[in-house]
Amino acid sequence: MKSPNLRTQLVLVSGLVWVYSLGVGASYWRQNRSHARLETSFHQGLTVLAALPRLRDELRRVDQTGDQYLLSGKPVWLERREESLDQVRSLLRELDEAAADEHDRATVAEADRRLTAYLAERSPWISRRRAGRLAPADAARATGRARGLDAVAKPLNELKNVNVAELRTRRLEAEEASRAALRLILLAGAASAAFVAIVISRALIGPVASLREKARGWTLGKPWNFPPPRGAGPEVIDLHETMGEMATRLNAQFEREAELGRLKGSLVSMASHEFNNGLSVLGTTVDLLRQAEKPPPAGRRAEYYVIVETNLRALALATRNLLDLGLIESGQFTVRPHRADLAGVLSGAIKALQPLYERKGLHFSLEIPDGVPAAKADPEALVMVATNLVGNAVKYTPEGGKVSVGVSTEADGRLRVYVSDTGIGIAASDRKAILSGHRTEEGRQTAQGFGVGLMLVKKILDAHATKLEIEGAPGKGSKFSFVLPRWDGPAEGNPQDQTSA
Amino acid sequence: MRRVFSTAISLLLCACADTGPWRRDWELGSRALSHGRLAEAEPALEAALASAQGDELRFASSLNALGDLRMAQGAPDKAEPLYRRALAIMEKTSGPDSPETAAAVAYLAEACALSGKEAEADKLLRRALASAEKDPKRHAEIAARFSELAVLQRALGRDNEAALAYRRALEVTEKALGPENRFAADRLTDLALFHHARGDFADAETYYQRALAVKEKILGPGHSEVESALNDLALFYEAEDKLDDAEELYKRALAQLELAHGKNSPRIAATLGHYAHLQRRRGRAAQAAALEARARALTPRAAKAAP
Repeated sequence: MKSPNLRTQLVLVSGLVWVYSLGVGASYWRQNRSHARLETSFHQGLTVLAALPRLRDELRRVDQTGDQYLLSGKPVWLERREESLDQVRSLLRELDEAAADEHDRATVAEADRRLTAYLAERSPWISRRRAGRLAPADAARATGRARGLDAVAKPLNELKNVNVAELRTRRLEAEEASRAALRLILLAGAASAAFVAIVISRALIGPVASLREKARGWTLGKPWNFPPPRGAGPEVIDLHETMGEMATRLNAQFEREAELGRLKGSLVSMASHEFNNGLSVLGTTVDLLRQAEKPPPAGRRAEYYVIVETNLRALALATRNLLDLGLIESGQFTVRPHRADLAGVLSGAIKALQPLYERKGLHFSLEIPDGVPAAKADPEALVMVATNLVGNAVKYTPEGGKVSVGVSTEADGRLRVYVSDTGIGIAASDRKAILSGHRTEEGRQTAQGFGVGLMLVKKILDAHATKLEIEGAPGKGSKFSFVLPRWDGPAEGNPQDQTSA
Repeated sequence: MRRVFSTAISLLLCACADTGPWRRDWELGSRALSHGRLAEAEPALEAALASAQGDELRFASSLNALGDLRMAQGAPDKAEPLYRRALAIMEKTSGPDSPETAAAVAYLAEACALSGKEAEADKLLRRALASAEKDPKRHAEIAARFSELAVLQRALGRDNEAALAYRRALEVTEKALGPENRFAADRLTDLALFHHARGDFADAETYYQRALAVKEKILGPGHSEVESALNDLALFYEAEDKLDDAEELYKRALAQLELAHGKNSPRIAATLGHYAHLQRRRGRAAQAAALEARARALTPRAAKAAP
């Protein structure tokens, strides 16, 4: 089912709030009316309870004063009778005004009718007495025979039912009405809240959460080919489509960047090949030149040869790194871990860099305990790692410093390969930058040239499922190390395998 | 009615008798009795009876007066022996068919009727009637006996005989005095009350109307009896739910009263009250309230309360 748009939903929710408010108002009104009824009924009850005994008294007085007049003929009785009659009628009026319903009103009207009938029957006797045309004995007969006023008051007994018990019933009714109103309000509130929650959840929260999960699952370069969230409103669908367009643009950009990267890589690779070839020729040529010198060079000439050879070697290492990195990036270099003799690998690396550290007058030590077991690693790749780490140590250790290269055994039996120096050291922030492959502004100044070599180291160690660890602080030297598993395969003594793999 | 005869006989006796303590006591007691002052009447009449010893007529009159007092006191059983003694004296002195003896018979009949001896009362009344009918001039007496007989028949539950007796009383009166006189009006009212009490409202209405017409003719509008008759008939109509007729009569009564006593007389207060009640019953609360306010302002209480 397609959800209505947000504006319509807002109107719906507002409408619901209105309905709820109306419900609250209605319950309030109902409660009020019930209380008003209770009050009226209380008032009516009081009126009836107060008026009935008085009414009976006055009716009795009407009867008695009438009799007294008939017997004695004294006008004072007639006066009193008129007063009582006034009282009776005024009490009947009060009862009529206090009547709770038609039935009560009819009851009062019936009493009034009976009173009129009584008066109609009684008045001619009184008139005759007043005219002096009724003897006392006749009067006695009239009083004896006349119907009493009991018949008048009789229907009013029904009104007495409005008593305390009934008032209590009405009070209970009013309380029940209050409770019902409260229940209604709570129920209406709960229902409205549930409805609003369902509407918002179905139309907004659910689809947005689903969209968020899709965005999380999406990676650069993948197409945005998800269907829109189910039950989503037009706005969310619009958001989904916009995100799709954004993903498409990002993918296109990414594709261009990747293409550019590949182009740069191949350029670097080509240039590195050219450099490598040129450097090989230069190295060989310088070597030939030195060997052809008769007598062998000495003094400043010999020093110039060393400078040329040292720099050629450094350049060759850098070029080699670039080439290897290019190979790795292009996927042409794969790591194949097998038996690696760490002593051979490390000493080979040190040997290759001998001219560099000798020239700086560094103390070099190779710390490999006897009987160190072979590691499980790609020896050729391991040579690249060792060469770069040792090269770095040589580079950043001042003249007369110390560089140690060695292997130690971890508690779990694995082998730790380390290269430590007494060089400039690395700040904690730089360590982080080096390990993450980025460099800070400061790092650029203090750790020049870390870039390509360490990047290569990191990639090779990543391929070995291990990572580079860096210790030390600025001015206190540094220690680069990584852990390799032991070789647990068959012992192979062929060193050729280590390098040619 | 009895009082009229009693007084007449007493005056007759007094005219031919000496003045003295009997006469003084008897007059004092009779006057007190006729004004309802029973406590005052009793010692006077007892003194009169005591001083009448030796004079039979005075003694009989005193016995009758004491009997009247007992009747007024609501003790017909005590009145009965007094009346019986008086009757014995009257029969001896005036003869069995004299009006005085007939009157004494009627008194005794009434006392018997009221003390539960209806059969004897019936016999006595018929005797008095037979005695009176011998002389057509005694029409007033005849009518009175018929009326009393009617009341007795009612008490005995013989309503048809009662109706007949009432009508006979009316006929006798009308024949002797003509249809337009106060006695005829009284007989008509008797009939109206009889039918009213029986629930024959149509007959009651007719007799009330006739009584009213007679009273209006002989007493004239504005007379208190006419006003009472108007009010009574209006009440009757109201009780019968003939509200238009009732209103018409209240209006007539009010108009007559206002003409006779002025618009602000306390005498119209009661009629105003009745009229207000009728208006309220007809649902005209505003008019009713106005009439009630007017009535309140005119009642004796209000007049007393006013500075």
